[in-house]
Amino acid sequence: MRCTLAALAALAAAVLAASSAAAAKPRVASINLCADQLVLLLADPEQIATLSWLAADPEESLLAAEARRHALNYGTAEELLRHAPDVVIAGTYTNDFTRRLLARLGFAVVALEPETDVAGIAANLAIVARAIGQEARGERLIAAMHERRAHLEATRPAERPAAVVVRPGGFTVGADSLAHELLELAGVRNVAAEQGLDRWGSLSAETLVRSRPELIVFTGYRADQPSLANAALLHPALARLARSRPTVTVPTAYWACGLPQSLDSVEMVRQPAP
Amino acid sequence: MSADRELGVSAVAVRYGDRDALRPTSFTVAAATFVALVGPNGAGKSSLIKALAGVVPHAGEVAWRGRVLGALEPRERARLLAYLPQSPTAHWPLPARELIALGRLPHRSLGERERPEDAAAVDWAIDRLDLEALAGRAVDRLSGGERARVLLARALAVRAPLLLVDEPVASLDPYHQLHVMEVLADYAAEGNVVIAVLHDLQLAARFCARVILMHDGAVVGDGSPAEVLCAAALRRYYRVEPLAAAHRGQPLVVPWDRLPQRPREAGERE
Amino acid sequence: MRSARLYVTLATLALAAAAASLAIGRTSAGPTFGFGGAELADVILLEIRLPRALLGLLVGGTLGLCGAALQGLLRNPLAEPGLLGASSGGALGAVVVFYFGLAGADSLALPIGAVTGSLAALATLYGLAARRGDLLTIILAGIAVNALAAALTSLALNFAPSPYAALEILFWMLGSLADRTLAHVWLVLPLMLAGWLLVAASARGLDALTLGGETAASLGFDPRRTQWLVVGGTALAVGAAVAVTGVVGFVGLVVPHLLRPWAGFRPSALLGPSFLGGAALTLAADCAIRLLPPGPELKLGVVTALLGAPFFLHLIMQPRRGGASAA
Repeated sequence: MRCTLAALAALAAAVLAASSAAAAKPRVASINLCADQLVLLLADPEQIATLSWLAADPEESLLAAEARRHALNYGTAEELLRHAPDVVIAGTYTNDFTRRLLARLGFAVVALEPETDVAGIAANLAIVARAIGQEARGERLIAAMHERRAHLEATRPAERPAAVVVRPGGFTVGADSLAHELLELAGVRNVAAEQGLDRWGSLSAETLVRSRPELIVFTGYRADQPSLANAALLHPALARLARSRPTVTVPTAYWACGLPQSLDSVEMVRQPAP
Repeated sequence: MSADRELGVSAVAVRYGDRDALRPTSFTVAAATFVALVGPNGAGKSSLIKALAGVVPHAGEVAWRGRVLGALEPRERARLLAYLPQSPTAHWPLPARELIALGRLPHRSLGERERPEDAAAVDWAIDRLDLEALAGRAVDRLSGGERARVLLARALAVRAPLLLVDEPVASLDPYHQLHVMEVLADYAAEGNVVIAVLHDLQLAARFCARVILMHDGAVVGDGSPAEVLCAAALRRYYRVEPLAAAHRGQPLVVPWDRLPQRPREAGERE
Repeated sequence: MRSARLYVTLATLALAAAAASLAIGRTSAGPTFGFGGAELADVILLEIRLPRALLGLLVGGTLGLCGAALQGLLRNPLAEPGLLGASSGGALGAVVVFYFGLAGADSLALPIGAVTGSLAALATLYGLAARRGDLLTIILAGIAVNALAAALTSLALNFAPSPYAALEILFWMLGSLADRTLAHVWLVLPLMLAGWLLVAASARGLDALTLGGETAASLGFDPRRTQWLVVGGTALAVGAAVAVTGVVGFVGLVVPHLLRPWAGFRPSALLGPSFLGGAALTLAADCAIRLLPPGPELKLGVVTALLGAPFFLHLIMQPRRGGASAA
């Protein structure tokens, strides 16, 4: 009898501790796609007040299924007021008017810079983790990501083929971007960066062809919807190249935001379709 | 300047670019005078009247009762002279009465309601030009002649002592041409100075006490109609041969035949 | 319609629209008429709905007033600040200030940049069109100025630091009243007031211009002075509006046209009613946006363009009652 009582008491204490620990964690709202996904990774589900509607779109977000379980917002101050979060996570390019109004209304607004490398992902993970009281989980995720990164670096194949990244609209990725670092990890040379492109931009079809790429990386985005941007992917010169070279398609969601899961794209690039 | 000289024009000249439209011109006009400004096309009549109205830059001075018009406040000057250009326009289809009321703008201040004297001036102008039936109609629904009378009524409504009109009867039928000339003559008779550019020499001769004939940018004749519009002048400056006729003792001025082109004399401009 | 009655009617409409704007909110579930409960009501009403309604009044009023004034100046009902480049010039000025990091969205540098851009655009238009001054020249000059402003804005976007920055500017330019603060209201109010005063001072000169430039001069109203009062006032007021809301077009075209049957054709009689009508129309459009089904909020400038552009076409096609000459 005494043992049962003690066990019950311990159980009750544990439950109380757990619930009060959860109650102590701040409620978080997110109005930016990248912030949404970081929040989903780090927060306890009860902490999440609302996420932006983009997070539930599988073309944009790697965590769309999880995101759909939460309330979605369209990024206006009035919506957020009604959810009454303790902290709001946004991007530095999120609508400036909304961010300022939220700050004026007394919310703690945290703005994340877009991630341009793996270190940036770690930085943002740390920022969000600190903002929502999940430092421990944050550290675990960062450590796991670094470990995986080290492993990928160690297993990088010796040969370094030249690769060309073709994004909708004829855009490609430059040196100062997350996608570039991931390509380097994958063991390919980003032709655009070698041509001097530093952030984002486009290369002409001729430049792309003349660089004699050995691998073509397509980023898929809403392939089933007609768009001028996607039509550019099918420039005849590139189509010919694509017929005779290995290609791989990386869904845009892996590179649009920086997440630990973005490292999955490294493995995709290492295993192109011949 | 003697008391009965109301308008003093002193060395007024107008240049457009490198062209002398009006060479330095001086004259005076007494009160209660209806002056006709005549001359062939390009003689400088419109330039002179625009200079008097102050709507083109000009050399020289125009003075009313000794006060130089160019030195006055625009509003004050606008109360002293009214101007009706050639082919006047109304850009908005206002009702006739409202358009005529625009003539009272120099007398009214910002935000003021219409005063009784403004309404009275508008009514008087409407009455003078026989426009009661048309007063409520929008000007774009009037015939060309009716519109011309409405725009003249606007100029009359200013009740300015100096009235300058450029071809006021150009688009009117004979009945209304005579009517308008009578109105202008009556207005002058009240003590005002009316200067009208006219192409119809007969009307000028009949209604105007004084005629100023211009040619090539200069005044070449100034006096009574009989003196200025004599046959010799018509032959020389208009290159037309007038009819020799008279009615009730008054000579008629009726251009009848064109004269052949005569060879240009040395130094004469075309 | 007697002018007192017209003013009262329009003022009532504007106030009703403002009241509606205060009452309508929008959440993820779509339109709402509540204030989020007792604790939030204060905040939602004063910090979110009130600035939006006030700006709707001020910006809408500015656009209506300046549209009526420009139509009076150019003596043609097809003129409005947007068509003549005042809005796109203002947007360019704001983008330049924003893009070169000279100001955040709250500082005075932004509206000043916008006013400068607007003034430059209108001055260029006048430089191009003033000599001939006929409507065709003016409209072509407006096209040219708009094209130039758009080209320069594209240039700025091309060199934007990131695709996100470019997108941010693009969305801002579409025109919106959402999530503006009272700080924005105080920021633009002095500039708008100055602009309105200049435009109001041109009223009688606009009436005189009905008779043409020369006759207006003879009536004591220098056409150039009237012109600069209108251009300067429009640049100040519309520039300030654009700095805060982006480009909201066509209000200045539509409102005076709708009110002419009641206010008459005399330009000065249209100024006041167009201010009130512009406020009412803009607020109504802003309310309509918030009443749409759930989804991201539609931009105000998009709505006014969707309504205004077909209206513009219709105006062009209509046989126009217009000026008439005695000849």
